[in-house]
Amino acid sequence: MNGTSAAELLEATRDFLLESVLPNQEDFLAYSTRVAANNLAIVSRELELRGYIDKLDEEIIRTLSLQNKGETLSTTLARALRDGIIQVDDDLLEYLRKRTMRSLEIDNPRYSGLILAQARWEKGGLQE
Amino acid sequence: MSGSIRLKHDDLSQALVELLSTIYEGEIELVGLSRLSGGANMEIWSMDAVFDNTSHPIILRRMPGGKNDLNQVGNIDLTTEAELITIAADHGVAVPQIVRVLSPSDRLGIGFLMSRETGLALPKRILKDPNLNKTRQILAFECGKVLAKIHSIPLEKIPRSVESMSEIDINETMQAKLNNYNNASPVHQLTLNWLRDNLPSFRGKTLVHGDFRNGNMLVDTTGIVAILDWELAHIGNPVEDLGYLCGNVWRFGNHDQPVGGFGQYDDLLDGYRSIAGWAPTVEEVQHWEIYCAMNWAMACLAMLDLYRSRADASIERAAVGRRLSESEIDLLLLLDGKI
Repeated sequence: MNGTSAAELLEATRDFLLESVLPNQEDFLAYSTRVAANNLAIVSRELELRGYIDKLDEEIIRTLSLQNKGETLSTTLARALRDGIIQVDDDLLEYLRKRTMRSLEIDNPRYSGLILAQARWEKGGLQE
Repeated sequence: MSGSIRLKHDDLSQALVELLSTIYEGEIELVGLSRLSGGANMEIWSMDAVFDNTSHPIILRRMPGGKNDLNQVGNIDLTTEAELITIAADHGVAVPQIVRVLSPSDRLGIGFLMSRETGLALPKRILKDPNLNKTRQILAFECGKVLAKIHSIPLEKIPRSVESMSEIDINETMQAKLNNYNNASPVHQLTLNWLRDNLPSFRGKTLVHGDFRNGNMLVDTTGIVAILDWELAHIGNPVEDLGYLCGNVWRFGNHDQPVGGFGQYDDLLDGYRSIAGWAPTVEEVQHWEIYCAMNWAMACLAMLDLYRSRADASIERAAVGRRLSESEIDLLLLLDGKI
């Protein structure tokens, strides 16, 4: 049997915050405790879903033949757009839509904008 | 940080008793001092000052930790904010009453005391409370009226420290911020490129509240009790406030109720027209929703920066930095068909 996984540690800590700590807190500390538990939920989702984002990133690097400049891909793209080196085309727009949806599934899966975007661009749910 | 004071709860309580006893000219008893949640970039404390068998409900707004340096997230300092609230009251805008602007000898940092008004402020409760079923139907119209009153305040009455910002200034400031924060988002950049190429219609220059949304107003069954949080006030295009109120991030999940999650565009514009004599088009309001989403992005970045620089390493700041993707999806939806 392996040791406790990262996902399990996160889940156990989150349960502890919500079930044992939160009931004894009031006002601002109760609010902060909920924020802390939600932060852990984000990390859990990131562990599970990060692979989808990495895959999209690899694809757009190939499509646009981008060079690694020792900065994040998002920064490379943002600066290229700022400096007029690349324009928004269908490939880039589709990548940005998908990547943003995948990010929100980690950051805030209940956000209304995500649900609207999935209905408009993906007919709901994850797309491979 | 030189000159900063960090007070513990007991010291805070003691300093408040001393100040309030001066204000009410007699010894007061301080009851129920507690920090309220909801203000991630501001310390907000609630208390009751009991004097002569009467309880005075009071709110303290001050810089986090009682520090004396200027607010790094807002546009104006808390002293100017108190001044603006008083001016707004003079022009028929429902606001809390300013009780006292803090001075250094009060040992409470920069900030002010104001009356604690009744009503709900939590957006989700405003959207769900059954007692407000009827109120929600008039709220968009009421918001239009209040905004028209704010925009009608003569510019010569506004304190000079309230900055004037044209759309071009706003765009430049946003670019500088994006550069400063390492150009982390292609979506924010393509939006800014689009905003530069598509300036909104000019509608004159007025006082703009800058943070007029569900969550910054107190609401009871009679309607709007008070408009709060004036820290982002500036001089600019009045339509900004209407677009901001309709931004998706401030609809709290009710996407089909564009005005704050509780109302429709036409009601907001009718209310505005009833006082101002004119109203912008829905398209103009939606143009400013793009600025609203960008604004939310800038706020998230600023709070993340406060966390990373350890200037305010609170758990709330760290968490808000993760909400950037909300602005990105809203922007991609708003720009659908435009780019």
